[in-house]
Amino acid sequence: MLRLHCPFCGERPETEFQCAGEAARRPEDPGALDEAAWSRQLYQRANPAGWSVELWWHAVGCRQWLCVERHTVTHDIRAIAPAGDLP
Amino acid sequence: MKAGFRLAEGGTGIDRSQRLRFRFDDRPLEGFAGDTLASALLANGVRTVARSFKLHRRRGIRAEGWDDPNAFVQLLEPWDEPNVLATRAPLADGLVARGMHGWPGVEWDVGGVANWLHALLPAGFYYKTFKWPGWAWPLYESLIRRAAGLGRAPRAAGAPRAAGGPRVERRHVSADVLVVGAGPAGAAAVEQLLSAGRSVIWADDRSMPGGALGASADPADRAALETIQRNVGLWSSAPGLRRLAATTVLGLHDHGLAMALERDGWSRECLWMIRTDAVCLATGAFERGLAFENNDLPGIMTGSAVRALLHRHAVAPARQLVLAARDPLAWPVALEAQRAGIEVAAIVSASLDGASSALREAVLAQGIDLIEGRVLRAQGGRHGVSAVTVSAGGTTKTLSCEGLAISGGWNPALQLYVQAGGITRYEAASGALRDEPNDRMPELAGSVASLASTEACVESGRQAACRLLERWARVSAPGVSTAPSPAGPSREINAVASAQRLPPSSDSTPGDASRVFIDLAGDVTAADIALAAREGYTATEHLKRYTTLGMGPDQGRSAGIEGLLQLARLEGLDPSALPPTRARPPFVPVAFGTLAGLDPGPLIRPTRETAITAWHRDHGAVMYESGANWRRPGYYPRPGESMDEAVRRECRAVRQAVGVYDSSPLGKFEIGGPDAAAFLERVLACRVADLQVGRGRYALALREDGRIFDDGTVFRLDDRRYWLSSTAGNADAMASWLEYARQWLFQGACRVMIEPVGSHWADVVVCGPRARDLLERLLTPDACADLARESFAFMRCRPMTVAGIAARVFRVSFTGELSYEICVPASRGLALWEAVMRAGADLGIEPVGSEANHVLRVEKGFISLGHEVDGDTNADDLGLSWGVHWEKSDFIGRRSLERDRARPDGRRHLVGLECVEGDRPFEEGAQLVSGDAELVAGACRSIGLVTASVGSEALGRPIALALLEDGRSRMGEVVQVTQSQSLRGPGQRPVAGAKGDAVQPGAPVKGLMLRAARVVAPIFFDPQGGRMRG
Repeated sequence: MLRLHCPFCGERPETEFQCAGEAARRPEDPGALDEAAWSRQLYQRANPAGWSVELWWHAVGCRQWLCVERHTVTHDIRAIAPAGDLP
Repeated sequence: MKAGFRLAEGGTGIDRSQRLRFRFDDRPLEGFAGDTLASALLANGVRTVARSFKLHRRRGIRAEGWDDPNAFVQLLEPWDEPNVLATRAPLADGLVARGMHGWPGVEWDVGGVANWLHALLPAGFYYKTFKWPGWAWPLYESLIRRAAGLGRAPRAAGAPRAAGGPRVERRHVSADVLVVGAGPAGAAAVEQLLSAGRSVIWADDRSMPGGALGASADPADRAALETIQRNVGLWSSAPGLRRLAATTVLGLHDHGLAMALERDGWSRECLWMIRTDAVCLATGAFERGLAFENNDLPGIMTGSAVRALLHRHAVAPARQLVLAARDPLAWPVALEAQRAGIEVAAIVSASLDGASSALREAVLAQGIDLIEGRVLRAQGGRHGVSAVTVSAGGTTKTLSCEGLAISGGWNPALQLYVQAGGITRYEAASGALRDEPNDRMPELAGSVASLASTEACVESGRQAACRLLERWARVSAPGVSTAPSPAGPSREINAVASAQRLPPSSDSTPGDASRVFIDLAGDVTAADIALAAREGYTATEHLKRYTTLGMGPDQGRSAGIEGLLQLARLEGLDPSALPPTRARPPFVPVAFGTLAGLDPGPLIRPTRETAITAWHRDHGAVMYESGANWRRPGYYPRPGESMDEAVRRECRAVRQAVGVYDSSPLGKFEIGGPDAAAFLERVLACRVADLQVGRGRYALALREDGRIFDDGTVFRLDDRRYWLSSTAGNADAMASWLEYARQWLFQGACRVMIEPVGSHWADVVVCGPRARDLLERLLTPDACADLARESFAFMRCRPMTVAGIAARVFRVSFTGELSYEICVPASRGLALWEAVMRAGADLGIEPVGSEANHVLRVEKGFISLGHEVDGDTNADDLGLSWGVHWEKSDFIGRRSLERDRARPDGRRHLVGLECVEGDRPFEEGAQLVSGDAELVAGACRSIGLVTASVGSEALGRPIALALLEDGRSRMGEVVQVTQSQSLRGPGQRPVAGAKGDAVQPGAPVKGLMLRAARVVAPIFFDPQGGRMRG
């Protein structure tokens, strides 16, 4: 079970969080994207075997969305920040 | 107690003053306190303790501890539990157990016939035999299930932990280091870590410290044991140490979580959840067996088991013994047995190299025959092994014996290391699996790292502790606890005691391969492995699954490496090139009841209740799950009333007089701030900014792919504050979604505060033509109390005082009737409900459950999540285009919806269905298929499905809602609806098969019947909506 260091609440067990997968920024103007680009935006994720920036929701804590940089193979966590503070 | 097996003196672990009575397979027996069930059985001369899993062969005590593949018994007293390992079960007074897999018992077992049919039961037998014909599988399955299984699950629900079982606790602890194992290596590591000021949790699966030292007769080992015992006493008050005795670590998980099970005799169990920064494993090694014909007979056990029985329990496993060893390392046990009064006929050793002259002389001085050779086969009968045939120098000879001690080398107990993510590989020099040193993984100390003398183990423990301390020194930035550290220097410990390393496994298998057991727990023989290799299952993980090698209750602790070596030999491969199969938690069997612990039944996932739930129950409501763990009233049957009658009565009340229902589970959010309107415009499909205070509208929340996520209403409470409702089942998801939009999608650009207030409020909905009359009776006359249509119209909200309680009243309707949703603080919910019931008594008020609500909303064609909203429908599909306001700018889902709009053909539309004949409702979820022509051609394709189907009380006939391909262009058409055969009625026809069969009237195909339905508009009642707006 992972331990995540919530920037607001401190170190907490994984069971307090929900993972929403790879973080994908919403474009400023979705209407400007053609269909192929929009399809990629909606459905395509890199799914790396390595470092990945994910969104986690501290559901039973501070209700903040967090960007978590996690290694998908080793589960190492390199950085955690409020949503938006990580690329 | 049968004489001859309990030694007259000795036994470091037993207390001869305490005699314990127990029963095994209905035989009354006696042992001493400190015995295990296994040692007590052997002391009584019981040799057969189980029958094997597949072939029902006799099996006896095989090993000393968790590596025993045989001695799993069914415990009956002090509680009912299968798969209890006798070698690790402490004896208790009144204990009752049975051998597993034997019927009527392990001595006389009807299933033993399988042993004579073994040629018919090769590896993969079930896969090959029972796959044809496909329709017969259910029959095969029931037979196989009866024959298979490991023990018998406890009969009582929740047993044994709930009913008369142990007290189960769960505790969470943390420290710097978890040290597993209390032998010389573990103790040395603890000493080093404590002196460096580190906090340590020290778990060991024995109640007494010392590990294998307790089974040693060596004076130096005895001294080492005393040192450890003295230290444990000294450390009992050390603030940095928590010693968990009799505690087995079950698993090592991510980020330093370990789960361990403490068993305090037979009274208490504690599941420990341990968090540490580092782990040191001093888990020791398991002695390996030897491969020869009939190597599974009772009376054959490992040398370490013999030693433990002699020294810990003062039990002689046999009166005459032969020792078969791979090398001289195991010889001393023969001398110890001889000293204990056992007649040792011979030592059969595959190699005499490395034997010191002193050892050789000691053996010969004892009159023990020393044979350089190997065991080919064991012979035996009802009482286990009686003789062994030995090959030595080209000749064979047979030695008679009552017991056979075997030693085929040592397997380091690397299971926890592998669980933690460590990689192991076969090392030819030691003939065992070894870890690949990795600075991220647990440190290994003692014989789990390298088989070594006691002094070397102590040194190894110190070194492991020092390496851990170096790791901390390297990690300078403590900000993120799990930061990776660079790979460290490889351990030096593997160099220690290299002289004692063992030669690799034998290069061939003697005897009849189908009687040479590699995995005793799963009855996997050398012949099975050869067969699997011939058939191409040469990857170790495939071999495991095809033959069940290592899949028994001992999880390959005894057999995994032996199977790997067999495979390598057959394939002509270097065993170090074969990846060992992966060990997974739990390390030893653990009962589900123990894991559930204090939270059995409803406590493990508590249900939600509203402020009014107690009233519903008291008034006979049938309560059930209605999403998100809410239990809501389905209907309120009166005495003698059926569900159907109750639902119809409740429907009549709403359509003709007044009904009331508890809508508290609805999700409710207050959204406030200067940008509240701008924020809602972006997350909802409708306009929000143009709402005046006190007004609201229907709100659809879309996903970014344009499909409907949720629906509800949005009201403007004041200038900067809005009230958003969501469906009950989606309330938590909506809370997450709104914050996701605020924090991530819009990057905090909207100054808005989102407060989920669902549980703050109780919602009581009063609906029906007399609803206004009822509410008027409850209002405190003030400026807000005017309920006239003109002043308080549909989709308005207003603060009012209802039954003396400050309330927010919303004119929304889910039933299609004049309806008021009255929200009061949750603490006043019951008071409001009771006031409503009293005030409505003479108006014919009825409490209404979710069943009647369902009927009423289907009559109105109102959508419901999970029925019409299935994750694939968009607003237009459901006829809700009016709820999407294109005139505003970007909102979530807009881009995708534009694409749907450009491709409108072939989408499924919400339609109504009416029965052409018959008066039975359609089945919810039934498929729609199109007209006769396609059916006759056999091109039977689903064109939609029934999403909701009810018997309408208002219309007096069954109606249904459905999603139908291009449904809005099919109004008036007749489609066919599938129907279960069991509900077949007049006028129903069978559906054609998928392979182009023509319709055969009257003959059911694939168990489905067809029924005609007419496609109509999806609003059956009051299509103009005059009643709810009235």
